[in-house]
Amino acid sequence: MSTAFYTSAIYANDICPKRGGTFSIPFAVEPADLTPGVNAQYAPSLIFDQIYDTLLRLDRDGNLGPGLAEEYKVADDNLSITFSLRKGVKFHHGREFEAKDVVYTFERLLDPDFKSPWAAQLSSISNLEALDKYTVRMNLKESFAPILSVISTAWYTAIVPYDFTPENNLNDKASGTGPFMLVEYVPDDHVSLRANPDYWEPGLPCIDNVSFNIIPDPQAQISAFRQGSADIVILSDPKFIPILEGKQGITLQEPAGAVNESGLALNTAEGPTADVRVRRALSLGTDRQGVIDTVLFGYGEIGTKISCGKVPYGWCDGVDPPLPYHAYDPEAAKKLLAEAGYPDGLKLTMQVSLPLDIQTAEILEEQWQKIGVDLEIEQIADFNQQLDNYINVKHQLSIVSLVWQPDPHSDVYQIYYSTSPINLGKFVDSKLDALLDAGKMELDITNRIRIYKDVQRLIADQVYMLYPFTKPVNWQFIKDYVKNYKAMPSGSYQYLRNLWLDK
Amino acid sequence: MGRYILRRIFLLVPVVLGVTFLTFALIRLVPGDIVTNMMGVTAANNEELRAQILKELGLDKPLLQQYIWWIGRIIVGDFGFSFIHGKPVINQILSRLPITLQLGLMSMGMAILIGVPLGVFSAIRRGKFIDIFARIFSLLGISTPSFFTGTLIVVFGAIYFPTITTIGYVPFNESPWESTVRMFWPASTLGIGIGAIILRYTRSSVLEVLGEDYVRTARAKGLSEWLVIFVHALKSALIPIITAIGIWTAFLVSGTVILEEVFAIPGLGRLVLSAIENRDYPMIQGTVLFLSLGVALVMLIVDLLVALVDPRVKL
Repeated sequence: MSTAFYTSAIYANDICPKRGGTFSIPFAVEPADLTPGVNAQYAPSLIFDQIYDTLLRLDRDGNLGPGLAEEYKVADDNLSITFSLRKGVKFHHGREFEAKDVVYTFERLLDPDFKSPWAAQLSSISNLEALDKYTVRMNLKESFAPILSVISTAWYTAIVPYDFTPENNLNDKASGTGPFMLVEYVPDDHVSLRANPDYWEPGLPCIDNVSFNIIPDPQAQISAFRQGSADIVILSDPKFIPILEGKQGITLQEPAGAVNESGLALNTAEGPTADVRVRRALSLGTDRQGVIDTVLFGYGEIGTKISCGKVPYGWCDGVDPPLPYHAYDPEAAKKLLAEAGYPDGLKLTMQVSLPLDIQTAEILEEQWQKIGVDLEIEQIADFNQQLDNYINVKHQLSIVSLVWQPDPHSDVYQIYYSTSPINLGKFVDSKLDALLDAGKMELDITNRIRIYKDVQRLIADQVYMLYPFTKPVNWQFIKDYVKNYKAMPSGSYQYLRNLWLDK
Repeated sequence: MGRYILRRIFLLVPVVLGVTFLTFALIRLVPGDIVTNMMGVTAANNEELRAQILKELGLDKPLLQQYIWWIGRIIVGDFGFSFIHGKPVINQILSRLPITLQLGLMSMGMAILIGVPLGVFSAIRRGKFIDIFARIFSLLGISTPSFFTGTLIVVFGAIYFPTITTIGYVPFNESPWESTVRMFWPASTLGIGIGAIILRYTRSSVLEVLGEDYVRTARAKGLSEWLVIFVHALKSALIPIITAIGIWTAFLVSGTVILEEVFAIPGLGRLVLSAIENRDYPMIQGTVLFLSLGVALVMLIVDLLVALVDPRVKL
């Protein structure tokens, strides 16, 4: 009797019902450099999530929780944050984690000689002080609301050890405090990790190894998944969903909300789109649900730049009050065009490069025919060139797919601020600028929500940008034997540390 | 013979110089910016930072100066460092070269094994079943893009033959057998495509030779049909076939780029493709140099073989 109780007690305490195994993930893009903070590539961040930790952590629903910092306290003047660090955490190379590592991590990112692309994001930080071995104070030059989300994202602020030099050592022999340790990185082939036996979260990770296999072609990824050499497949194009849906032994993971947007930038400086009536007409002439049904096979949502998945700041279709010029009304569109001086319609050109954007452009071409707009689609071979064209204002209309950012400020500031070089529509609106600046500094969440909803309302009213659809960052199919795994809105594989394999 | 070879090797130099200079100029003309790629759009618009990075990468100098400087370093074996990885270009190239070489050799081997015999029999048994079959196969093989055939193999394999892995790479020194078996799938994709073309060349070349006077003479002399074909006719027919094989080896390069993507093989083709996408200039220049050298060498060998086979060419 007592032994039965003993063993079941152990079972109840072990958060991994089964241990062991290797988890294989097909990976489309070669990570190139595994050193955190050194470049702006997204793919390596999916690996940072496994090797490193951050001070705080965001969960799937957007809630902030403790990470390497057990507690944090924002000073009354909002100009400093004090973090109490977790004790007894070990880096993979054996040394205990301490405040000096946090100071080093941030100073390295801010160092102009290190040339991290995130220096601009963190520019509100003036310095960090290690108050004692387990306490760090971060001093800010001004109140900066996004700071908490930024320090919860390993892509930006993975905590690195101060006794590893920046020159590529982290690329070959990474050392972090995360649940997995780097075993080897064979460029263009695979990255393999193994479980960290001294990981600070009790009982985790459940599996022994993780293998990121670089398979660029989506069909090949799906084939690997069906055949069994991959345990998960991550699809960024919904057209592949029908192939796998309903098949034996696999499940489509509940996507963690729509966080990617298709963004149509309209040139507000020159050409016919400089007239707000033309822009409003285009918005009215867009059947957003139609776009979603055709391009995404229904797997998307109507939304704006801060899309519904970005809780709590996102605008949700059917939940929040409707946005101006959002409803499909071709008659009103034609009237507006006539008012603007185009009773017989007009010709416009649109630049696109990515496959999903091309399909979107084609649907819009069809839809806008009905309001008298003759759209010419210019397909640019290369995304980099399209981006160049934006920045040098060589476009009338241009569609770009936009990615997840941890904070609404990062979502909209760079794109909407009048003096920003990547203001995609080149618009200047002092009311908008004021809202954006307020949102940056406002630490009260309720006020912030209001500010960003106002931003979205203003954008929709002036149609500085048009959002044909929003969608989750990807759709993930997993094998039925993969348990306790959840998809993150950012696309990060944060839950690899929690999952276990029932086989 | 020695002088011929030396002369041809000497001619390699202007060819490779021409190719590399063209590459050099072209990639710098392509829009899209290495700084934006490395740093993200926001940081890249910081003028000071941009100027600093461009200076470090040596991209602020005039084009010709950059090229001459690059040539100077190539001569001493310094291929520079990748803009993206930060690691020496030559290491990446040398580690991937054997992989693409393996793919290329196997593909060409299969192409010749498929194309030449089928072409010969198609010519001999002209109008018969084997000829019709060969010509249909040839048409299909030429018209079907390699990425289609490759994807078909990957997808069909996964659905109907799940125990066979068609994608990925096993290093040769790890397990020669496994490695060859794994490489069989992409190699046969290319092999079918190029084999179909070689088939046509072989067929028309053999047909032409079989119609020649000396073949009729050999037959009239009473020699056995097999002797006529395989000793006398084929030797002459070989010349255009070998030349064709040489030319198509050059196209093999572009074929491997596509197939390395589809079959997830970490070879040179994928290296150059991602280097181009990332605007990694030193990597592009280094890989193109190697690839063009490789192709030029193949053409040299082909010309030598032709010279050996063709009694008319005086070495």
